[in-house]
Amino acid sequence: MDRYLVQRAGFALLGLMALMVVLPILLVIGTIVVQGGGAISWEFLSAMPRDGMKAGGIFPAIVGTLLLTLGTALVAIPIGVGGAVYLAEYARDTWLTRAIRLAIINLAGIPSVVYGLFGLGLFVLFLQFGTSILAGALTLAIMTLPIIISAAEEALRGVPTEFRTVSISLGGTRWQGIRRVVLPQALPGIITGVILGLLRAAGETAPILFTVAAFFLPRLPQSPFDQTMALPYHLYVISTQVPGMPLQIQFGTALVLLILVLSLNVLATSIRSYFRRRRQW
Amino acid sequence: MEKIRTENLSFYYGSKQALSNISMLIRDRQITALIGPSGCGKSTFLRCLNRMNDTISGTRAEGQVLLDGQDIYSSLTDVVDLRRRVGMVFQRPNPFPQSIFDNVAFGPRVLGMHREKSLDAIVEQSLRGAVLWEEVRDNLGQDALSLSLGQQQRLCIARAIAVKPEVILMDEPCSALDPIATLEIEELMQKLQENYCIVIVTHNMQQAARVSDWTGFFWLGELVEFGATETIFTRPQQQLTEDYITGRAG
Repeated sequence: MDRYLVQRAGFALLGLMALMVVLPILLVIGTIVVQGGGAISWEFLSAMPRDGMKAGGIFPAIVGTLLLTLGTALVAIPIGVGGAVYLAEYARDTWLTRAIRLAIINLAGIPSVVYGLFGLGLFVLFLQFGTSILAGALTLAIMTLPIIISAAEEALRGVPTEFRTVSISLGGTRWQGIRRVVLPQALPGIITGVILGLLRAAGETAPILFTVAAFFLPRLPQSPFDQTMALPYHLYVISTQVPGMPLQIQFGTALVLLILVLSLNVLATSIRSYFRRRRQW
Repeated sequence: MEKIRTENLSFYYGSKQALSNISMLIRDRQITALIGPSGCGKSTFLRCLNRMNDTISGTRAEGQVLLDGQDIYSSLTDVVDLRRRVGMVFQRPNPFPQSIFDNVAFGPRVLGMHREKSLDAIVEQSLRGAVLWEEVRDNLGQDALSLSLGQQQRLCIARAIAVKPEVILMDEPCSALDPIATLEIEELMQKLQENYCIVIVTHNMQQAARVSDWTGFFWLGELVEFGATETIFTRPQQQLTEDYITGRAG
């Protein structure tokens, strides 16, 4: 057979496969926008749910998800970035640091429902935080940590060793070099990793299932020890637990969650590409 | 006048010996050049003089390096302060990805100087010292990486002298530069020599002959010959030195 023909057929096939990667995301977004777009209104975004969640809005779920994400950020960012600085800048290769790295890799591989059960056992029951935002945010933070640590460590290692050497040669301590040169250079990568980690936390259902999420709570949480509704769990509830739920509300809720998560994603990607273009070393 | 003296300095990367028993006298306000083929230990020797090799794990130095008579390898030495006193300029121009001003002010700032006025003064003084001031005086906020390579290297020299060192170590400072930029750096070295003790590692023997007062020839981790540059290049005592500078060895 003509080898040029083979090549053309091959490329066509490969192109088709590449296209098939894009197809699902277009279909998912398309379906949700078409089916749920009609549900979006000011009331839907800003009102409490009514009539057994079949009418009204999803305001408490939106607020709940934002609060949970914020709580996760408060816990996971300092620990994650701090740990990454230690691992990338200070830690020597010992059995301890190898164990830490192994732990991070394994943390990343644990199914999210297991985090949920762990959170229930540790935070809700043992530490007696109850089913609360605190317990949920801590659980999500532990789940997010490996993502943040890995991304931040990679970003730090990406900064040329030379900058640290020069800083030392000018009479700076190692920490001064890290704080004044290395961290600012690694910041875009760290921010990107943080956002991607939080994104995952915002969209997860299983870890909040037993630790914080309320089935139906038509008011805003009053304290970190309060329960709250949250978008992913709310979506799960109205899709499986409430008979006769209007399809439009289900897809409308999905659309809000999707917009929230995708906009974070776009933010992360644009921060990364903006700084990549500016970087000259 | 003596500034640095090494006594039987040996250096090891793990079990591999990189320097053996180097004894050398480096004089203040003079330029000392270190020449020799790649891997001969001249850069390792240079980095022993401000203990930059310490940052590589598994390395070990034996013998003494005396700076103004004080052994810098003694346990009493404040290594951070030692590096302020013995500054360094690297092979590749490596300004921080920050403004010209921030690059020069980096050293003074880490040493605790934060007053705007004193920083302004020291930045100007250092840039003048590195003969860069006239070119950049109106663009101090400009990104340092937008300068030409030659300007970047002079900026690195300005950054090094901003912490008022006594010695400046230069590790092949011109190897990434074109001939004109090289000449500018060489002229700058002649000027700096009035105030500093300068040690330069170079691959370029013409450069060593042009700029230096003293030359040390390294071969396989040993100091084969050390003496006045003129003597080394016209009447070397060792056959190996003669072979190297005439291009028959190395």
